Amino acid sequence: MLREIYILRGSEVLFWRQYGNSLKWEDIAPIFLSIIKTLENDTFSKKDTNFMTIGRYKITYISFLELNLFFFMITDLTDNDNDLQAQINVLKKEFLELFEEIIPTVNNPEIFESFNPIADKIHKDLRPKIALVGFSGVGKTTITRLIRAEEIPMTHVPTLTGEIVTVKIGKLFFNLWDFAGQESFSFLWPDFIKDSDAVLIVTDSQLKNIDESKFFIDLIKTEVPNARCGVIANKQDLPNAMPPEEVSRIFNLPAFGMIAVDTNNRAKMIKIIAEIMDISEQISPLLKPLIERDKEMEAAEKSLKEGDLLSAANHLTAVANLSFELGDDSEIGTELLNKANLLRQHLGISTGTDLSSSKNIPSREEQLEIQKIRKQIDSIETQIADLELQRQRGLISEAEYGEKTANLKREKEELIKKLKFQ
Amino acid sequence: MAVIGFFIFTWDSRTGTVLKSKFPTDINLSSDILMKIYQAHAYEEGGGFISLTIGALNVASYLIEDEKYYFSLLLSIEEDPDTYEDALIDAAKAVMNDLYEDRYVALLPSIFQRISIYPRLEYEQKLAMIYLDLEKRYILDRLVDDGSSTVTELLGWLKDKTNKKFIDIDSILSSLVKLGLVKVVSVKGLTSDSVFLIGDIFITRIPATSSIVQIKRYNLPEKIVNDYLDETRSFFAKYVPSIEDNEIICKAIVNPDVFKILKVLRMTPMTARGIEKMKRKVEDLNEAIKILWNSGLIRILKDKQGNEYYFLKSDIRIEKFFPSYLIDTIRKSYNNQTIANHVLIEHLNILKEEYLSNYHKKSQIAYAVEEVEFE
Ligand SMILES: Nc1nc2c(ncn2[C@@H]2O[C@H](COP(=O)(O)OP(=O)(O)O)[C@@H](O)[C@H]2O)c(=O)[nH]1
Ligand SMILES: [Mg+2]
Repeated sequence: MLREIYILRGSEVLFWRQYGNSLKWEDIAPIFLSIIKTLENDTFSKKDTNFMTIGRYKITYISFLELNLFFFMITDLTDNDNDLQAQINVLKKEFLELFEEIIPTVNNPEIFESFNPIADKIHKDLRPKIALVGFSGVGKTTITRLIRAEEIPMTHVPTLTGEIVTVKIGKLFFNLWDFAGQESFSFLWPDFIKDSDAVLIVTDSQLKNIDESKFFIDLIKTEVPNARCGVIANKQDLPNAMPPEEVSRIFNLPAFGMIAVDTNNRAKMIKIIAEIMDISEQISPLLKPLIERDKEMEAAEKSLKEGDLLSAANHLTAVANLSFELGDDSEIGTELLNKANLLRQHLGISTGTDLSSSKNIPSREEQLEIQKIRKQIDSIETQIADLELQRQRGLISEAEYGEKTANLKREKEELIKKLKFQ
Repeated sequence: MAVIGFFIFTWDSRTGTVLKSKFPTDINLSSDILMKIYQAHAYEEGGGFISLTIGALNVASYLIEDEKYYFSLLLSIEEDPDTYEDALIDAAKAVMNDLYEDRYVALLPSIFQRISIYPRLEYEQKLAMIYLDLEKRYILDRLVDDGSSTVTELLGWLKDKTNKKFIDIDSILSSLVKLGLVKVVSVKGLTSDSVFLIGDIFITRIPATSSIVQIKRYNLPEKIVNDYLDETRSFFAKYVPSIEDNEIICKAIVNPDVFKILKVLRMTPMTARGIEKMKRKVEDLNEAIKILWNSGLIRILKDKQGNEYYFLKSDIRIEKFFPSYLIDTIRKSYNNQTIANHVLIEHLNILKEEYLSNYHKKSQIAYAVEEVEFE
């Protein structure tokens, strides 16, 4: 996965865009400088794409010495050199096309922000891949549906080939591979996880399945040694479900508890993937409220323990509001609000005067409406990404793609207008 | 429609199946169909031909492993996918050689047409197809000279001779085996299978006897009849089969429309009205007549009233025959010690078996079956 793009003029950063955690600037700056030095002196390779590996990251770079420009992409080791070479050339070409004329005179670096969409497209075109692995019936398809906010299957229909769909994590898109987990299809598994940027081992958290699923660790080690990896301890609602901490110890990998049949866990699931992919919270607007909500929840619990009921009530209100913002379907938000109000009543404080209401916060109904619209926009964006994947896979024609995306984009514009109005 | 569609896809480890082309362009192909075909190939391991059923459809599919290119045919359920093997592999080869720059896309309609008719081709036409396929013809030519060879030897030799990257020797041999032209056998002591020639192809023009006999029945001016007969006589007096001419007649006969008309003309000359009526039975009558004319197969004569008659100028014979000359080839190989004795003996035994089971009954001469074992 593409993590960062840097475009430098000499040692000055003209453009920077980040998609995931990566090398710190203090560490990367000296490397850039030494690369620039060699590129300036080396007349052989200055036109070519070069690669360098730093820890678990790969740096791809290319120069344009006429304008003293240097292009860098920091990615995972799982990215393929051919794809990287193609994309860094896109980066260079597009950048020069837009800015070649003005670069010598430009003094307002903000102008380069208009390059963001092209950078985002490069992220997408490197086709980051996440594979869900695990034996049949553990909940891989359910997780896929959960992330895509599609109807959750209540009965187990074994996946017989494999489904490849796009999912949106924050504002980033990934190809998610949900494959046939029946052992009779095990001959396909190596092909299916090949070139994954991340592999999620899904287990139903029962001892037997956990034990058997250790098999996938070896598979991952041989097929995609550089992929990021985590375990989903699914079906935490069932009796005897092993807690994620223990699962983590057994696999020696980060593990995350999950109840995939509960649609409220969508944001949580997305957060898990973001964590495994090491995507920073700044770049994903969806992740921020999630992390905040976790913090507020923790604070509320702490306050309750310490007997600070007012503070607990305020934290719970914040959690409720964040839940609305996140668009959880359930009544959890309402419930929490009620709880907060009960606490306040208990303390003899009027329920109408909580701290948050002093800010100009929209009413619950308004929030729900806004949330509904946001969800629709999200779903449209996923649909567009899906169409793009289908076009890449040759399943729809260029014309059909054009027509359908144009319609969806129009729909999205309408929704955005509505949102602004709200 | 028996053949519903022909399509080509590849595999990409990040996006899965990637459909490259399909014909007709409006066939509906879901990711599921492609994944199932991909999966069936993966199960077999390695490239090659497979057939499978997906829902209410049959599928024939061929994978060129090195390139990860899949060539698949969607068939209605009553079609036997295996009968399309040769046609599909030929199509794959045609596409592979024009793959870059997407030149093959323009060929897809004609490729599709050729595949669709393949299982209904008659034996004569299938032999003509083999003759027109250079790789197959080279193999046959080589075996006509040497009698036998091994698969690896043939592969290496063919690669040198054709300078081609994609040579699927197994599929080439398998189509020769199906038409009874070669036999592939594992012989003790050899690491590679042996390929023995057991049938040869004979291609020639012959005088169109029924046309000549029936010409009297029509009210044609004597001069026209005599001209026609003279022309035919002098043509056959000078006629020597050549590779170029063989190719012309093979190309004509593999066209299903041409073959349909030819089969009628073999029995009787046709009036212009009769030819016109063939319109209902063929795809493109004008094209077919043009090919027949340009290949020197028909002659159009006019009677006194100006009515037109279509006569065969020459007929075509394409046959498999028993290569008895191989006995001498084997004798030479024995004397020169170019091929191991036990391989030569195996070849003789195979030829004997082939003769007894496929040629003997047809032969006019009584043949006393002597149980001679070549040891
Ligand atoms: N109780 C419970 N059931 C689940 C959970 N996740 C999935 N399931 C059920 O498990 C079954 C198998 O799920 P599925 O996603 O098809 O499994 P897959 O074979 O791994 O794709 C379905 O009946 C789901 O409803 C969960 O968290 N808790
Ligand atoms: Mg499944």
